[in-house]
Amino acid sequence: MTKPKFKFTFWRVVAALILIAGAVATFQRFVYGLGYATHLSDDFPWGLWIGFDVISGVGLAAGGFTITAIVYIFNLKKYHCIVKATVLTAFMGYVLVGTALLWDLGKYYDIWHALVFGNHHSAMFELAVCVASYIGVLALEFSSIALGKFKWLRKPVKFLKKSYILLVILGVLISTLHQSSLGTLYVIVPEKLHPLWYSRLLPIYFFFTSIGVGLGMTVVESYLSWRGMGHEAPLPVLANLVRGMVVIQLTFFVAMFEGLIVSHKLGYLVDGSFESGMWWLEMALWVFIPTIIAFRKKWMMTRFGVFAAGFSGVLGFLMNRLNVSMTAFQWSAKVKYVPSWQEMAVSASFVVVSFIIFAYAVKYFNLFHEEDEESIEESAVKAV
Amino acid sequence: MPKAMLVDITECVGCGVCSEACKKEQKLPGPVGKKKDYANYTVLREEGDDVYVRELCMHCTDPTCASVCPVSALHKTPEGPVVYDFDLCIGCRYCMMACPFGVPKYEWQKPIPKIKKCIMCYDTRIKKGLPTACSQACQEEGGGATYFGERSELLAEAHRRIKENPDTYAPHVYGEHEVGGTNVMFLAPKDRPFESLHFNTKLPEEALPELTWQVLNKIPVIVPVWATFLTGMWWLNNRKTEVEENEGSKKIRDEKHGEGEND
Repeated sequence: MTKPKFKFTFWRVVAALILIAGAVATFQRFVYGLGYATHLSDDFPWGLWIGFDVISGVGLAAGGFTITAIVYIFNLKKYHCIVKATVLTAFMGYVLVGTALLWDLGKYYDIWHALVFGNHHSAMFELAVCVASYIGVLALEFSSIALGKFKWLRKPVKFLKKSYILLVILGVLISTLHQSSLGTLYVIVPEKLHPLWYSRLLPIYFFFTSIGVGLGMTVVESYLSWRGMGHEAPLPVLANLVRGMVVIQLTFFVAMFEGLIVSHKLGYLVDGSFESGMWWLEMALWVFIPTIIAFRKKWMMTRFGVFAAGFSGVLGFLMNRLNVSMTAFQWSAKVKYVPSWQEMAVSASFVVVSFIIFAYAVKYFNLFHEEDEESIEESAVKAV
Repeated sequence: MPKAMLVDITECVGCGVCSEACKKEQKLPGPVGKKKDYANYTVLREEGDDVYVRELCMHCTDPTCASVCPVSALHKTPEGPVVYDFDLCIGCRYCMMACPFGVPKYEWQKPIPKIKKCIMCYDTRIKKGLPTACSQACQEEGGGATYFGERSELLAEAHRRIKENPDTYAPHVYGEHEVGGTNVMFLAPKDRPFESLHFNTKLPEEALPELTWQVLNKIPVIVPVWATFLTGMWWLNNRKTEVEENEGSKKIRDEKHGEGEND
């Protein structure tokens, strides 16, 4: 194989700059401590690294369980073409979330304590156990998809393919638990979270909306890999994912809005505060814009229209998670929190790294190719 | 029997010997500060008109910090204090997020930070049957506003004071019921009730850990149901494919059979 000559493009330079800043920030964080490298304080102990890297990151990787459930449990085989890509993204996403957490934990080298000295009354413990075991499940799922090309691994891969449906069901179960437990984290702070976002149903909201963003992310990834490498899933498949996402978002919106009505919180929507503005922006991106696009047949026939709807949904989701973890918490905190450049650099570096991994994986593992589709389907049927 | 402290705000003169004694006892660096932080477990909050409010860990009966800690680095001792184990801690700061009184603080300036909070002199005094450093200093050198003793006895004393001097005290013992009750309790002056002294008076009487537990205790119920449903859906949906395949082969068989008859 000849190495293609490396070219300096605009985005590559940007990525390199971000990674350099991330490296400097990492040095500062681990040598001088969290106080030096972040704008966190006693009054605002969780910032961008928890809100974006962990709480949003886990959500963005939800495609893994969503798509495998659609294809293997609900047997909608036409979506099979995106299984590989989403399982890879999920695997990569979870590994990156676990890694990013090390930046935020004060005693990062004791991260394993969460699995050994578990306190089963803690939502954080549930989260830790589920994320750790789900990384294991995803590793197996991904190996069975990707490692078939290595001859010496044929046997274990064959066994994995036979038990694939078990992995899928286990994956959905564990995902249900940890997607919801991200919401459970905030159930214990009714006094501190802004009323527009606090609800005892946060765990249910978080789980349900993770399905929506799982679909949305799949659309976005597919579009990006088409832009970058020319690989992509068929447009009708992606359009249907957007429609599914819109149905989920609308259902969520109705349920959440009913909650606001019965708990007499509608006044907060029109009080002109910073929080109300953020709520409307979140809902516009998350619910309204994707819905409008999805109901315009003309727009949904174009690649860009489908991508725009999916991307808007993903941005809205991001806003929601950041609003819960930062905007809503800021409301009761005594200080204003704006992330330091180090926090932004590290978070951005993780985004860059995930783009690089994804780009290589698309090439190396033929993510949007259907070569061994039949063998997987056969084994799924045989597993009956 | 759990130990507790009662702070009678009407008796506090704002001398600050409690904070000084705490610094000495817990070997905390620097001079006495105005805000609780890693070096100040207890401080005085000036509320005007010579009214001072002590800030310190409330040592909840059912502590939120201990319930959210994923590794049980914080726990409630039978003697009353809520204590911290640095060896277990992973530094996630969920305790700081969750505490309704904003008590746990962090050593932000250190590369490997500890959580710092009042531990009611657990190791050095409570275990040996001694009163806390702050309450002893207050009684011996200060205004005598902080009392140490059994929670039930202090609570009875607080109610006796309110009953006997209704013109002196606001008719409420802060910490009796707040978030399920606390082991540090306050009495406020009649003309300065707790709302005006920046106490959080909107806290529920229910202990906050119950909120999370009401979610987490559903897990063993949901998992078998959800697993059965998912497995059932898989069986149902994949059976369709099988049936279609069999029907297809039957059709072929029928066609062949029909062809045979025609022959």
